[in-house]
Amino acid sequence: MPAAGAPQCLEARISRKHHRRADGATVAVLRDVHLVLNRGEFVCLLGPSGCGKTTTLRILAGLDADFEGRVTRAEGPMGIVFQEPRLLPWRTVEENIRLVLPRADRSRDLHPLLAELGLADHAGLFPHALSLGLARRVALARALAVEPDWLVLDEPFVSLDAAAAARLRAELQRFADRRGAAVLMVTHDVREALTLADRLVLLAGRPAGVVGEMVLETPRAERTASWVEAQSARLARCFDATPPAAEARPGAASGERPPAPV
Amino acid sequence: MARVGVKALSLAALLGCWQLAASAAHSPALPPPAAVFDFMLREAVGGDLLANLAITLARVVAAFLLAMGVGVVVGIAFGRRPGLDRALDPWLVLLLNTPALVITVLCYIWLGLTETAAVVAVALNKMPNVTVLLREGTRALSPELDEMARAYRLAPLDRLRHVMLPQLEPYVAGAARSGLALVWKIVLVVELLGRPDGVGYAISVYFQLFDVRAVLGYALSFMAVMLAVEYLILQPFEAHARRWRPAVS
Repeated sequence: MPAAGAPQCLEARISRKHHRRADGATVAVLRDVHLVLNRGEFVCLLGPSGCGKTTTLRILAGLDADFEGRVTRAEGPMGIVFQEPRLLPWRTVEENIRLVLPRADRSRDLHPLLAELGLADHAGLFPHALSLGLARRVALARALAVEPDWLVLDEPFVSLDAAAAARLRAELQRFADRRGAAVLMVTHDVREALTLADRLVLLAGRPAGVVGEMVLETPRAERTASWVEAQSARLARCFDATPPAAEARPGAASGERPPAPV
Repeated sequence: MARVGVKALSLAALLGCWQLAASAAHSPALPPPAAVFDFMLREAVGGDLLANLAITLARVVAAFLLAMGVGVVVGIAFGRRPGLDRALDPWLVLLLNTPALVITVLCYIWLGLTETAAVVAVALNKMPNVTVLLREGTRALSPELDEMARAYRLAPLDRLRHVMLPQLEPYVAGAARSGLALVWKIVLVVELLGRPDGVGYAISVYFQLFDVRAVLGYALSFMAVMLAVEYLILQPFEAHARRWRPAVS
């Protein structure tokens, strides 16, 4: 757990974000989203499907500049994993990974990384020959290959079977711990978030805003299945039953933490 | 192997029909295949056939490369910049619909009866076609992969080579194959109108002599050259570029 006041990796103040529909009308998607990612911190952005999590992530990653507000990012490489693997179908697994490396680094030995992610036997394959689980693993390998200071992941484990998802989660966790990288992960899976994160940020409403934050101080190793269930029930009590006015939510306006969830 | 057999059989049947028709007509306007092949062999050994083929082939290659090069770049620019496309689309439509003969005559008038004029005329006939195809291809580029490339800050050259061009490759291949056929047909007309050598010139000379044997001989020779280019260069290139795709049976 990073100390309070650790240098920030990312700070975003999105006052407003609109989508333009095909008929020309604008729809407000985000409103007053304030988000901080500290160095070495693992933050999960939680919220119902379609509430604007991906939009938030794209803004944070610098892929969408069409919003009102300000995002400051620390220098340093960013790794990103999209919802779909987004591999180049005409390049092999290994070429896909090499391509995102800085030029001077292109001929680096990728074997340790590939081996660690169980991809050593697949390096020469084209993406169409991979299962979705493998393709996602390649996308994760690509993000890790740039040795990022911060990682952005958009529901990277969705539609994987439980075992594959658990394995990838563990690999991500191991990398983040070893490298001290900050991770911002979008998910709608509360249990996944509770298993991995140092802090949860809850996004909800229309337009969506931050409706709550929850700091998880229990060390990851001590988060048993029953602990996860209990926390998840607690979260549901706090957030699902109340109306979507941000001020009504615990910890929303001030950013204070709810009672320590231990 | 069976497929090759069918193709060979079909070709033999065509030759058979030709032979039958020639025997029935019994006229110099339709010589039998043997006479044509005999002419080709003699002209290849002792005549100008090979020299004329080489000259025309050089013009085809020059015009083809020029048309593809300019057409691809302009097509990508049009596909990427809707404003440019809107502004210059009428020019493109105009050029697309200018008859080959008019372009050729104007090129000869404005640039003189030169090699440059011939090549430019052929290229101008093909170029708008390439542009239209590549514009479509550029519009169909995947925004998801583009976003991935931006997120990982790929250098412009890497984006072009690894992200954009492979997506455009089917369009380039389509433009190349349809283009080659169009270019070599137009080259002959351009040669006929204003060049003192080449297959088109030779055909016009033999036309004036009413030597159908020679006309067919030249035509067949050049078709053979273009088929060789198609099978030995274009198709292997395409197969290489498609190697990543799942096999379709």
